[in-house]
Amino acid sequence: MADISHSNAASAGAANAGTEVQDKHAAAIALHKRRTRFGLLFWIPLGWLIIVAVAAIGAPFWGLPAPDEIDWAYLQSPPSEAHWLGTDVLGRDLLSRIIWGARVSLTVGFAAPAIGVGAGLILGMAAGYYRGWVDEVVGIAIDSWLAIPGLVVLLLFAVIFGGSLFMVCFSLGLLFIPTAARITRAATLNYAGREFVLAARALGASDFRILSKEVFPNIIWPLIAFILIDIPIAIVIEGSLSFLGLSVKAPTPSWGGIIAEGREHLSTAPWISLYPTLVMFVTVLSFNLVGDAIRRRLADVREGAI
Amino acid sequence: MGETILEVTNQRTAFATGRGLLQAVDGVSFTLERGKILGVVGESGSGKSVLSRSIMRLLPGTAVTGPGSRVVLNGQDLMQMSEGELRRLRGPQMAIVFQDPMTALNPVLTIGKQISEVLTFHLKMGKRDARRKAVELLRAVGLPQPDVRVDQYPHQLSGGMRQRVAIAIAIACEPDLLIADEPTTALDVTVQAEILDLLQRMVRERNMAMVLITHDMGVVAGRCDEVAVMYAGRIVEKAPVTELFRNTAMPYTAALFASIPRVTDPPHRKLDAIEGRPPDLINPPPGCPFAPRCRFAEEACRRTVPELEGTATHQWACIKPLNREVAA
Amino acid sequence: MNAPTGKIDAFLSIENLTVEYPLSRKAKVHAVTDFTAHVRRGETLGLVGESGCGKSSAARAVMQLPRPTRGSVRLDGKELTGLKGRELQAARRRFQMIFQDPIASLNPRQTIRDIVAAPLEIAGIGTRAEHAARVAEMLDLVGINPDQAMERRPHEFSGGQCQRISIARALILKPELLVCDEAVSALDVSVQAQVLNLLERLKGEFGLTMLFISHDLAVVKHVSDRVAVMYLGKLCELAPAETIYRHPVHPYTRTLLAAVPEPDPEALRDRVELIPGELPSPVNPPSGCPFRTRCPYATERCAAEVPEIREIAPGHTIACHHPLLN
Repeated sequence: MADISHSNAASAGAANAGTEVQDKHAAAIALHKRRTRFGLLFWIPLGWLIIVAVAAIGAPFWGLPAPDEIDWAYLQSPPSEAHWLGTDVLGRDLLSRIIWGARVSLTVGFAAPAIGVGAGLILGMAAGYYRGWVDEVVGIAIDSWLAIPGLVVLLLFAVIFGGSLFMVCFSLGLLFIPTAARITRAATLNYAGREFVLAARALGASDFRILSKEVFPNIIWPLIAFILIDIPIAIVIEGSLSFLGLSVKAPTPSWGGIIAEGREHLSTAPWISLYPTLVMFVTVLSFNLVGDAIRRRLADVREGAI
Repeated sequence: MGETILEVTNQRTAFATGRGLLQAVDGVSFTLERGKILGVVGESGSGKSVLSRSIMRLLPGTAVTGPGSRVVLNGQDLMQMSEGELRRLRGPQMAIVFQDPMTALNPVLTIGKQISEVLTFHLKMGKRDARRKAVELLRAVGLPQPDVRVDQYPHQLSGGMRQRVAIAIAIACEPDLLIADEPTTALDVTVQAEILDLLQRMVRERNMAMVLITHDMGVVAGRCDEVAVMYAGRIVEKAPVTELFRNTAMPYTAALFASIPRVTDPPHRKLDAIEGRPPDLINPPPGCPFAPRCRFAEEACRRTVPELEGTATHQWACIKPLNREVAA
Repeated sequence: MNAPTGKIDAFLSIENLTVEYPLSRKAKVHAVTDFTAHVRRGETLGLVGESGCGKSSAARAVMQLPRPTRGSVRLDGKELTGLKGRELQAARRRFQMIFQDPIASLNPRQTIRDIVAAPLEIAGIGTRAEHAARVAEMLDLVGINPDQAMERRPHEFSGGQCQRISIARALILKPELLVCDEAVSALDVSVQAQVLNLLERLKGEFGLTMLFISHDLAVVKHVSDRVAVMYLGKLCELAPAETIYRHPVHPYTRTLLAAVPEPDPEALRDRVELIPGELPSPVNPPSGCPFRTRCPYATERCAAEVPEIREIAPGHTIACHHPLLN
């Protein structure tokens, strides 16, 4: 029905509006669409991430040699039919090690931001909704936490608790809490004063209901955007930690660890470091590209809804 | 007397949106003489504010001005001007007062500085002269203790005082045209009355022309010489103020009058509300934009868009005007 | 301070209501001071005044959002200020509120169905299917087509429609008292008239008692049986609507009325010239009568003595030393 009325209006003497106006308008809409449409720079990285994720999840089922299985016939061998990406100095299959390493990277990439945002969400919502002394206590806690250098925290955890995957995720997650809490607090403050929250209180809704039903659905988008930024950061930090030998312990392969092992053989067996580096680079870049595209879309959704 | 200050011809302004082209101002024409106040009344979405910005050429980048639109100020065609040329006109020839005086003033500069800036830029005044003139202007707009206030920041003033400062800045370079866009909407009634008095006095004393944009029929009633009623981006009725109120032609104007609660009414009188809502400006209905809500509308109203017609002083855009014999 | 406000058989009794907000350790904002008013069942009391006069604070205090600093609010004889937790939650069903900003009043992330059903859900009444039926019924009552609206979100509706949805939500539990805080101020005149008519109709259908807050005197006169005028947190004048508009006695009421821009080019404007100046700060209100700093009739007595609330005619009370009784 919209189309009919539009064509009528256009024919009703206003035809001199001119094609110039229509063209400019079309260009503006096209630009807008180009900016928010999911293009190749979204789909190709997403495809790569799916490949990495599927490979990592199904690692035991691909019929690859175990990541710690030593093939005495192929010590430090370049890519071949038997070992597509070659082997390391101990004759372990590199492809298998990279795929098993991806499990560590992806686990940390998702778990650390999840822990950080989960805790930050609770603290930030409490501070932003209740204000008063709760806000002050949370504020002081966050400020003190930020005063400790992140690297020190990571090193301390690694030294005290050793390199378990859980501790790596946990210590990294702790570092994401302050920013997540601040974002949540600001967003909560913005909504806690809105009249729909007041209306819910006038209805006798409990604080839990108000926070979960009225506030939470409104603040989730900035937090998702925050998580999208944090995933690649977490992967890079984990890579650096394992390069320094501060992440998961030796037999468990991780990308940073493999790169570190190949470091001394760069001149004779460059592929050992090269392939995991490449995989990590492409994966982190993909997360960034996909994250950017989604965040642009989210901004659009938010503008449209409010 | 009778000198034309502003001439707007077939002004059309549209905005590109995700859904399509929104025709905010759709063929508005009027002229304004020195010493006169034109009231532009309309509800939200009627295009009255976009019209004010179209005249000042202060439109955002998404705006598209229709070909054939002409705004002539003091004989100069603003459409042909560069941004630099326009900037030199804003201040000495035309100025605008916005609805929200807080956002119109710079929060980190003293009000004296903000007034003198205009004076030094346009009138090439020296710093000391500009400051003296700023105090003088603040006194003229009725700000108490102008020599103290001149060194204060906007947040130290109340809403009414900030609007006085905004008016002082607007009239600093003695413009010929002053556009007041909902200048009192954010203010309390007693303050509103004072600000409207001030604007009216400034126009008379300085012999300017003013376009007073408002949603409030009460505001135009006591202050304007002529009133233009806008609906869906068009002027639908234009007349001298008393004529418009006493001899309304356009059903929309009449319906608007009937829907206003008045202090003189007895309590609990049922208001004659206009049912429905203003049309979607992206997909406007065919014919008269008010037809879907008009109780007098007939088939012909839904076919063609009525042109503004009538006498030299009183025009309406309606094929079935009220209280009038229509020549067949 | 038992003000002679005509001890009527009040459904809503507001007595010596005081609202203060701490500003710092020493200073506080005196938003409302000793406000007393009584509203009969089925009556609408209008509350007018300029920004900062405390009318919205008073409305929120009546709603216990938050509860007042001092004073009493009784609904049908039941004291609300002392209620806690579950008791207050249960009592809330009897009094509801509509806010100024129609769009901000509705959660942008929820569907209209969820928004209007929320009161039922919070009160734990009925099943989801029953909710849907009630929501549809309420939407229909406020003039929103339920078939088209239920699954949509607030941003797809205009301001007037959002306000209708707010009204549906406020009335779904059949409250007895409805507090409207600037409920039509953000709407265009033509839409405002629709919503005012709707409120008047629903008031009859639901047998509502209303507290109607607005800065717009014409709107208040339109819906109110009696009107209270406030200035700087205090009551100036309270009288039947017709009386207060025809024979305003307090100098402030008269000023306020004279400033209303009447939509009539030939309307006579007899203005009370105010002493130029600003609204005093509610942190440091003037001694005596709060209006004395701008009142052209103020004397020394106005600074020294707080004017008591007194009845000058049946049902017409004022707080002024020099009322304009011509």
